[in-house]
Amino acid sequence: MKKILLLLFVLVSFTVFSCLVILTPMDTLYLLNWGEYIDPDLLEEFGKLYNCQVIEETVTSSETMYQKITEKNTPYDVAIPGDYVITQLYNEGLLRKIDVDNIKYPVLNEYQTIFTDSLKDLTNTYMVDSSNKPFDTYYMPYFWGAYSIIYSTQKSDVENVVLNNGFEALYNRSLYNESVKIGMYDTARWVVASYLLAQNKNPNITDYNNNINDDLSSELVNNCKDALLNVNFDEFGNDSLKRNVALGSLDMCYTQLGDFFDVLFLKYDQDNGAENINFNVSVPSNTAAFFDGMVIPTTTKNYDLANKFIEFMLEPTHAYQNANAIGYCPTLKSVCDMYHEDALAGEYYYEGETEAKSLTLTDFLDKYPMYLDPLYNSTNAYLLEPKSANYLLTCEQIYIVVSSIDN
Amino acid sequence: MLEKKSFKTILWNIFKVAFVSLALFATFVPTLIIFYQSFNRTANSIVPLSWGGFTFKNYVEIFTNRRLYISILDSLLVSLWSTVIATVFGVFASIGIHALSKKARKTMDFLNEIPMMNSEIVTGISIMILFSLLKPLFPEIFGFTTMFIAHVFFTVPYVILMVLPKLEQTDNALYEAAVDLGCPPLKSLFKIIIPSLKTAILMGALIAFTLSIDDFVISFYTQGNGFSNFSNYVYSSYSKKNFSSGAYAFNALLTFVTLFIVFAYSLFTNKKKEGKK
Amino acid sequence: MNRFKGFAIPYFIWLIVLAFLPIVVMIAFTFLSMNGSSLEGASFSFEAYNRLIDPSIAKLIWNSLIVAFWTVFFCVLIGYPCAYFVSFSKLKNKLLILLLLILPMWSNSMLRIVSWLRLFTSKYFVGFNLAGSMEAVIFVSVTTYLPFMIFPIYTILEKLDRGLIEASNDLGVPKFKTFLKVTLPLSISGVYSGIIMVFLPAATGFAISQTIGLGKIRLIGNLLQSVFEKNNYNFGSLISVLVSLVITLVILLFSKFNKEKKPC
Repeated sequence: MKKILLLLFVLVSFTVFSCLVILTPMDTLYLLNWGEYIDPDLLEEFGKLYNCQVIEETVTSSETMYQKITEKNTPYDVAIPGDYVITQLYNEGLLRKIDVDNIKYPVLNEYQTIFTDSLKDLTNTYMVDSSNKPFDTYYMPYFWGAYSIIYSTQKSDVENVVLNNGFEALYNRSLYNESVKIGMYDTARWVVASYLLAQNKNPNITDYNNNINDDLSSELVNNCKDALLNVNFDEFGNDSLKRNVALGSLDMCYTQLGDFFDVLFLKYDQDNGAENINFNVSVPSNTAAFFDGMVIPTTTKNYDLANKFIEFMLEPTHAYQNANAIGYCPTLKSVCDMYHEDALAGEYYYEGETEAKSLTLTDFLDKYPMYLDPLYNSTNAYLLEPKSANYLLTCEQIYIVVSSIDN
Repeated sequence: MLEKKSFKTILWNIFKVAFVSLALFATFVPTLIIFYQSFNRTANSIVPLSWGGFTFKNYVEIFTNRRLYISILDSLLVSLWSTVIATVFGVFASIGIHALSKKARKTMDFLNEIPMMNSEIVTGISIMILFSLLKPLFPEIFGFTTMFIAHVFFTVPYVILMVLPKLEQTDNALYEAAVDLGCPPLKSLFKIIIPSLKTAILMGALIAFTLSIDDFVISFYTQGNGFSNFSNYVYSSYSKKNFSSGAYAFNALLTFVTLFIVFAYSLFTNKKKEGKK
Repeated sequence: MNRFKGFAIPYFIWLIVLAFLPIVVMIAFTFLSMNGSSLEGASFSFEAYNRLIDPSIAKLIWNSLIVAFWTVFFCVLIGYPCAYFVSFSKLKNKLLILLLLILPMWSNSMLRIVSWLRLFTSKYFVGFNLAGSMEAVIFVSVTTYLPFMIFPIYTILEKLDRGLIEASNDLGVPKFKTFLKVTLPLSISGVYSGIIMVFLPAATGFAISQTIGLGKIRLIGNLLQSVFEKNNYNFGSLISVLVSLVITLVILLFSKFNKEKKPC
């Protein structure tokens, strides 16, 4: 009996201790975000500034993001979903308007002019409600970029093919003189989108007559399945793809631009600088852009704090610090300007042990112009549109044919 | 003749030791890698398993990386409580089931098999669906509550599995005698039946805890409100640059501690036995 | 003891609510086309059933069964001798060896899977292309679930009446025959529960196929996970019910086979 009492005592004291650690009496901001997509220092600074704690939950796909918000299991105050999820959430009435007219928020007041023009053009075409009116007071772009190919520069063939053929390079192995290893994103919808982009088509269409219907036509489904079986991708993954291209175990992969800058910085950081980077990125001329936007879901219990958070993240110095830490393409004009200023001032993108292992900001911006303007090379840029449950299931059924179990 | 036989026996013994060691080794490789990574400065490098020098900083991270230690605490909270509750629940359920008539017993056995025969993923989804129907009433139910209930749910059958057979082996005579002598039934139950089940209960609790602390799939579907567990922390961030190498360190530490306890315990019991002799 | 019947009632209610009710709800969901789990605006439809015609789903289920079959096969092949050797050894610290065998279970299974992946993709395995292959998925499944096989077999073997074996030996029956005629039949129930404990997670898990299979090995668990990720409770419920049905069927078949074998 004594033993049991002792056990209970230990258990209860452990519980009390854990609760003290886990729960803090302060205000709480629930943030739903992608993994490694915000500078933790900024979260800390925000917490100190407003005497609150930020609890961040992370996901790995747009669908999970959507699911988490619609499920309402957690009262998220701010979420950072991708473009088509924002449209979907807006259409379903799950978003609250951001407090852009409140004089407390000087940055939010200027929401119409602070974002880069090429992004604004895109959102004005795609992010509209049923009466073609933009609903830009419901989201604030956070980072953006374009779908692109990260490729290894170690095989001479690969670079030429990727630069000349765009996304077709992923689906046509006969373009190469040697065997290449190709990685594809493991999100079913992206697989279908990449297939359409590889054929120079709009990734939103559902049949070969360029219609956009509820579900994919069976002809397109079958062709896509055949293409997948034919090309027989070497890996399906998400965060692992970029690492594997950098490592050399993949020759190229389909991914988002931000992934490239993420792994580029990682490469410099892990070896205290890098002398030769043997991978590069290409944004094909027919591509799709994407952006993630900060939104306030209707689940919020702390609307003011949520607005303060968005305002905080859009303040140029914070946004600049965040872009530096995360490496995705910034959405604010002011941040782009700050990059140019710092480049002129001779700042480094990465300052390594020696000059040869370092990269100056000027060189970085020259080498990778897509950082400040993801669509600099693109003639056609689409945004993915929200799709029906049927469409997504069909994508899933296309994707599962890849299971290479009997090979 | 004798020598020949013993030679064969030696060979056979060598084979036995080799076989068990090989199986041990195969299951231990990941544990060894976890040890290696726990002292590796570059455990999370692009190049897998590249050695970046010896360090203890991963161990420090267990206490400094908030996301990591919160997930560890979450795991421990759920597992400890669900083990205690599942054990108590399982013991009483076993006593109840044991007392049932044959027909009722059959229904109960069938129902008790459902959580065990159902795959983890379907169990997780079932509970998620059930509680998502309750969400309009209890909007913040996901998190500790759901995960705790789910863990109790999937571990109770294992406790019953351990306790019930033992209960059937126990002799009722002692209990009947106590009752006949005027001891209240409940008291007799606690004084006679339950102590005789001690080993089985401990076994059940151990299995419940082991399954619960290691669970990934069921917790995957029942997490929420910022409450997750260690497995889900690993799954959601192992390929990310901010994945804390403290995860390896924590696991290595846990294994070290268990190993230590196991060795200490076996030394202790051995001494006891020798003392008795 | 019969007065304690009442103790079964809370557990009975618990099981009805948590085990039985969800199955009913899920079956109902298979006929409802709806948005997420909310019943608002849900309508009756057979759409989910129409999708089952797609051969890819049958193929996924088949894949899962194959992976689970080989995992179980190797687990029995390795697990039974291990349990047998340890249980019948004359070592003092039998329990210690057993604990060593289940010690890996104290490391987090997710982390163990990640460790295998790191090892397979490291420079030491560069020529083998292990990651992404079905063999690797089965191998990792075997090492992950092996303790689940060893443990129940060992428990049964420990309980086994050694007198029976000694009697058989005394009667001059060769050791191997004693094993086949006495030990094995008496311990088969341990193998049976071990098989179920390994088969279930191996057939329906999604973490191993996702990480070790580099996304190329798709099992039914992967489909279930991504369907629920897309908030599709309708189709997801149908697949869940289907998985449960297939598993029950396999287990029934197996236990029938098991019963038929028992008399000999």
